[in-house]
Amino acid sequence: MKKLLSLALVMIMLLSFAVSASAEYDKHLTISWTEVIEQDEGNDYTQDAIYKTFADKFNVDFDIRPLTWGNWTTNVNLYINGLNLPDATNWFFNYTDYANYVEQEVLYKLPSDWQERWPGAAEVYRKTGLAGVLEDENGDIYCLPVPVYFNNKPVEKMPTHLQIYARKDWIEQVTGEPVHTHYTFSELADLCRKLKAANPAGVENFYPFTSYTNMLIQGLVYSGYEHVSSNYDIYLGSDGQYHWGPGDEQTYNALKFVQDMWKEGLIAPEFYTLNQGEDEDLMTIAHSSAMFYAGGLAANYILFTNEQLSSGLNPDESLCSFFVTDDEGVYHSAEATNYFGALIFNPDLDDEKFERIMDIVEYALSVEGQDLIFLGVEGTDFTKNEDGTYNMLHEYTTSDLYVSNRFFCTLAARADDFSIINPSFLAKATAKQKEQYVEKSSLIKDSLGELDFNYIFHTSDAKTRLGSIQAAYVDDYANLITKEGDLRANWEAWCADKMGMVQPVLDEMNALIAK
Amino acid sequence: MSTVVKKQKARNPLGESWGRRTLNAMRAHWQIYIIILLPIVWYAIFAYMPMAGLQLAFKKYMPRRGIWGSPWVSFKNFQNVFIDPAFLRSVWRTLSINILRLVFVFPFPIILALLLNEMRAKRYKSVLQTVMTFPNFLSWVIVSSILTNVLSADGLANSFIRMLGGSTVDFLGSEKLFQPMLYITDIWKSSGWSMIVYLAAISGIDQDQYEASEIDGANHWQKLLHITIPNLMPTIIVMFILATGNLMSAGFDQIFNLSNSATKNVAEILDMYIYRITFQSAPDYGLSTAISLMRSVVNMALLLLADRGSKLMGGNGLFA
Repeated sequence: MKKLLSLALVMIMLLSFAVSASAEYDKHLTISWTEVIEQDEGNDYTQDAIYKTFADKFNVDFDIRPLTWGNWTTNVNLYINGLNLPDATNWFFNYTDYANYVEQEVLYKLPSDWQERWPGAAEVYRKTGLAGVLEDENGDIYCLPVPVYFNNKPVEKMPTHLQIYARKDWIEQVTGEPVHTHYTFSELADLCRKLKAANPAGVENFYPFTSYTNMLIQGLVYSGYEHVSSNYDIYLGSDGQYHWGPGDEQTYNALKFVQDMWKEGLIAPEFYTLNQGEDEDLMTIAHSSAMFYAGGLAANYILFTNEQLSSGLNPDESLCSFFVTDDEGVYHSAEATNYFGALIFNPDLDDEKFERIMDIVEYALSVEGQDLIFLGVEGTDFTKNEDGTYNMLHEYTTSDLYVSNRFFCTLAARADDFSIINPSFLAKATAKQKEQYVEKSSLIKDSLGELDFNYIFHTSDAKTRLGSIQAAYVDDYANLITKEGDLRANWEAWCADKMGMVQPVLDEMNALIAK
Repeated sequence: MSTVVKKQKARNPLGESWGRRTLNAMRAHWQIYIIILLPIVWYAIFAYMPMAGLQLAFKKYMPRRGIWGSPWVSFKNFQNVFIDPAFLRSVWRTLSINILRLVFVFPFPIILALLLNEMRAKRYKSVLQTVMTFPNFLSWVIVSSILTNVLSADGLANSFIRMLGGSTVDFLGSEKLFQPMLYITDIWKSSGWSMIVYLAAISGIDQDQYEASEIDGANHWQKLLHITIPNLMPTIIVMFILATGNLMSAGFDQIFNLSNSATKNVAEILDMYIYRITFQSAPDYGLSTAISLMRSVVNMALLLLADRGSKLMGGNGLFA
């Protein structure tokens, strides 16, 4: 009798589940989805509990098409121009391209009532800073910006999260004092000199500072002046006129500082041949470098901690992170956007599929969805207290246990937001992520290159042409640093060469504000 | 000439029209026509049909409207090309790199073929030929990663230099050394393969000429100068003309893989420039096509110029 009763109960449960599922999503859909997946390695993302929860809940399968950071922009641009977009794609958003693609009708237009139908996604959209500026004259939008912070934003105006990771034990050994949370440029150079002289690694070719080109420039040069990077290079000065930051004296000073360090042998001489990841390996595995630049997210701190552990070091004693200010103690940075990429959809997507995608996005942005993606299955991996705090049921992180986490963790939002509170992460790492934002913000004195939407959303042929030289800034700065001859003469020649492309944009912007 | 006479001229003595004769010939030799049809179809699909896309050089490409439906913009794309000073620099750089490539790299396979032809130890000769051909099958990605390891500050070459008392040479980041490195690596990688063409041409030289010269008392050097090289000349000329026709486009794989931010000022050839404006920022297919069209026109002009020059100097050209 008991068995019959149990069987009947199970049947009722299954039937009710089937009815409820079919009522909402009676048609099974396969959704193609493209995004950058770090450490893809050809994984099968479809077998674990996180994937199955999404698949069952929404009656879908995902046709996951992973990209790398290296081919992301290129491939998605080719998909768009070839009218070959997957159903949903995480695209490296920039407004000039966006306006161009909207004009060409190659992006799906979100329905006008999308904010009412998916209020969670709409609320997050408003927090990205793009709400109200992406809409066309009819109020329509054609992409959904992927938010960085939406529940746990550490500071109101965010500087870059990049910071220096370093060998704490070596620094304390050569300075005889605890590591600081930040150093001035001069202090950093002195620190590198001491490390070079002491050579605590005891290897023949020891270089205190090693970073691959992109990180070296984004780290050291961009920390010297807030108007050297694209999107922040054309800025409205205090004189009410638009200027070009790379041509300012501060840019020269930033380049000079890095060049001096490089010439002195404090920076790896062939940094321009390094690939991403090789720089950190030189410190954490080969032990022939003492510091490198990388993202200041908790996940990075944990990654480098684990690398230290695997090479037999105690990360508590051997790993630290800090950032660099100018010699007056002022921190310079471009304002970090609160979006990184945007979801775009195939222009010929049918309404049913779009609605299913939006339901998935809505769920992924909810507290329940975030818990599932970043902590795993409730009851198996974690439990939740009434006050909203978590109890982890094991010591593993979700990415250790569920490979599909690598796909879902950036599906609708960046992982930065949950990293701030992620209880499965090393407490020190989550604290570091938040603290550095707070401390950097406290040291910003009119030195944050703020987003100027008048410029960012300005479109013209001249601005499109300027895009090709902006894309080469990092390589150009690296080239100026390594180029033979006098840096000032080289820099001035470089500026003069670019002015033919820059001046028309400055003229357009100045004409705009004059109206 | 009257229509009647024209018709008569188009008929053979048996009274068949040209069309009927051709049709009969095709029926009789249909197997040969089937074989020749394949390359014709290949050329039509992959070489001639894509040329329709060249109209993009005069259009603003709109994916939704396709190549044919995109609006015409006259010569605007060509005007935009010349606004960027990096474009003209990349053109001159491409020409200078490839002209010097003709000077330094082109003769190498010829010299190798002549030297190898003089070898008497046949087994050693074939081993050497295989060894020299092998690098051609390595991609530039592989070659550049090997070179990066060998030529880096901590690499084999610099270790050897330091061992001999010298100081570290910045092979990978030096603008002065970049172009010589291109020629040396090109010689190493491609000479063995290119040599095969010349070896084949040498092996086709009539042996009676050598026998006759031996009877006349000619030595090795005289045979080389007066028989081998003159017989090789038509092949050299054809290869030279073909190389000249590629002056504006050769070398992307090599330069893309060997260059870095330190050498970018001496490495951005036209293909690299096109790659940069097409893939590293918002793609502008109209602009890219305009540049590609200009490059093709210049290549064609150079090809015809080399062909004409060859004929003026008494040699054979590509075209009759």
